[in-house]
Amino acid sequence: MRHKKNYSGFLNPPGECRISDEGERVWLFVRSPTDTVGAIVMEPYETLATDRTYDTECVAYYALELGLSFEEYRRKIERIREPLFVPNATFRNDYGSFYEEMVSRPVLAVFLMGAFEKRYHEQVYTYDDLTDEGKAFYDFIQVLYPESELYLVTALET
Amino acid sequence: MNTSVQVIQGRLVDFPADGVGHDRTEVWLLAYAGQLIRDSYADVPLEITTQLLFPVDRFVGLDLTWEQHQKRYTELLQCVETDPILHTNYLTAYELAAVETGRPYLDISTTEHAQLNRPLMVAPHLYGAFLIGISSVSYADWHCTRRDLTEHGQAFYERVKRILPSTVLGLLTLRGTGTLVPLVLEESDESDA
Repeated sequence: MRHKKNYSGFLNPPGECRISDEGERVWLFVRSPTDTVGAIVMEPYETLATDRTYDTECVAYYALELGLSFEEYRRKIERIREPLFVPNATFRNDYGSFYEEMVSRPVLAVFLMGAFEKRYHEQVYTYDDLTDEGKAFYDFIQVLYPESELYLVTALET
Repeated sequence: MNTSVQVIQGRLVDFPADGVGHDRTEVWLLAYAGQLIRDSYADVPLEITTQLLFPVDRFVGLDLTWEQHQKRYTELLQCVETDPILHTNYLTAYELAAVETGRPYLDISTTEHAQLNRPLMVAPHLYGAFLIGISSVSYADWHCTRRDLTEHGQAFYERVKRILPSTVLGLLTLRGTGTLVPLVLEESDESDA
């Protein structure tokens, strides 16, 4: 291991079979039930998808493979992620241009659930992929923010 | 309006009873990646942290830097009559003291907001952040410390501390209403907002 510390957090320790050398990171986003409270944060870099949008995003990806233009595919992905992430028109760098990443709608919490240095998961992480302790934490967060929607966001480290 | 009833179940923060204003007060639990706090070039996996951005004028205090902040603020107030730099600085003495004593936990961000004309403060190198308390009033001289957490809040604090390595926790107190920064939607989305 390049890094001495273990960042697996609430993710189940990987088996031997890895998909690629891309690292993977899983974030929990707690979408505020109201747009009048919370924080706006950047979408994790190289976001693959969220657990709630993965299936729909796959359909869009298949359409891309079947000839949908990349621009139309990108717009489809934006529409699918729109309940949580929107194109960034909020944060600018000191040169005055907007960062390319999308930004979240207001969230009450965001937290790194775990990270691996290799990619062990072909799809995105879901609740079922969390450790028992991770599931308990997720359940606790759902109780703490009862009206909120929780998303698990899987991002790759390229 | 007691917003905490709407968005947070249970009481994690024991707010004082003596509010002085009608601005809201929020408490955020920040989980810093300690190894990056100690050394921003530390050998850690890429992109395992995020950051929290908020306008500098919403900052009340961070428990990790409160003492130094207050001490520096007092010093700045004493020299405000003699130091011409303060008169032209775009930060108030309170904000300047917060920035000067905030590193590595807080800093002025190079990121700007599309609609705000005040600088943004950034809490960098975060494994995460949790909004743990909202009060419908503001206070004259109060910031949240561990002593202000309820038993429920203490348990949550300890739980978050154990999940990822080198976690350093901070309690950030902010004033004001609304999201930390306004979300700006592209024109085509604004009709849906």
